Amino acid sequence: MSTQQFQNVALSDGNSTALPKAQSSSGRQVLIVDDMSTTRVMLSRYVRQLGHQDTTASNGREALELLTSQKFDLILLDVMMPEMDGYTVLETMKSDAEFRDIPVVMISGVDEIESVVRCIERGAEDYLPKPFNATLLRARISACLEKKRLWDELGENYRRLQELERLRDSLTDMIVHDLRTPLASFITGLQTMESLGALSDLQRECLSLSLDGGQTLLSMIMICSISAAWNKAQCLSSTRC
Amino acid sequence: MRDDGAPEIIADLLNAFKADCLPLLKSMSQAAKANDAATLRKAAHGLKGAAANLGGRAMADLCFNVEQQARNGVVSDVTEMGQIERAFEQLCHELEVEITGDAMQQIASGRE
Repeated sequence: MSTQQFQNVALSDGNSTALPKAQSSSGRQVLIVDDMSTTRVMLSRYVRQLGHQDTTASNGREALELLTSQKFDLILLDVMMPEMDGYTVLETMKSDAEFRDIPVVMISGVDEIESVVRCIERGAEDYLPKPFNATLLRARISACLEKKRLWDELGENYRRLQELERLRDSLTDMIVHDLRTPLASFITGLQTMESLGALSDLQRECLSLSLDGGQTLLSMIMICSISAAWNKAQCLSSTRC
Repeated sequence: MRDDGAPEIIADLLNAFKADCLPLLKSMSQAAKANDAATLRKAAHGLKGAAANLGGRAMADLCFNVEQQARNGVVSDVTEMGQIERAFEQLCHELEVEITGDAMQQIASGRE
């Protein structure tokens, strides 16, 4: 009996004790694109065994249509297909900011290494050689999904950081505004009192100390305001913010 | 040891395999008659991949030879086409035996 490959496919899920699932990356959406039904059935089975959801497409055009209507965490993409091949799908994805970060693993025959190299140069994450090896397949799918999960997490943390920065700037603006206005009135009042004259030496000394303190506080508030404006300008000039 | 869904999975694979291979076998045969090396190469390439996926080494090797010859512009003869068809039938038969064997085993274990 030479049907080793379908024996691998039909292996019990109990086999996962030897190959544990990546818990943190489970339940992800995987798009399988291949014109051969056999390959789609096999890969769907593997993907489900790993605890993920699968969607299949039989050519590149169908895959691009699915990409616009559903979110995917990984694409398993055949190179040679009718209607639209894997190269075109890969190039379309990598030129579109919405799909650029979705990892693509190319599916190829062992005699198609040149095509695979071409795809990796164009942004494919990895490749899966046919006939499939269950261990290699699981390892590559899990590694790609884990990388995507960490990348998504990094993106989410960066988005939160930006929100916190915006919150900090708003708070600074509010504090500066709320302190500066009454302080300016306070200093003006003291300056008016000073200009009126007829003050004792002690009164003049107290007034002078209050005015100095008020001016120092106003300078500190102005520095805070300038610093916040500088940070905002830095953020705007950088593509990160 | 397989899981409870093993016969269904193999049946799905067998159906998919037939759906892939039957049109390709026809295409290969027509291409051979029409002396069309390009179509013959594509069909042999597809058959080779489908067979290799299921561990059908004999069929994959035969298809590989036809593909390589076609790549050099040589169109294989009827004998080689016949060998591929027989290898295909043999692989389908092996899968059917697997399905029947697993189903019988499940019925037997259900009675225990």
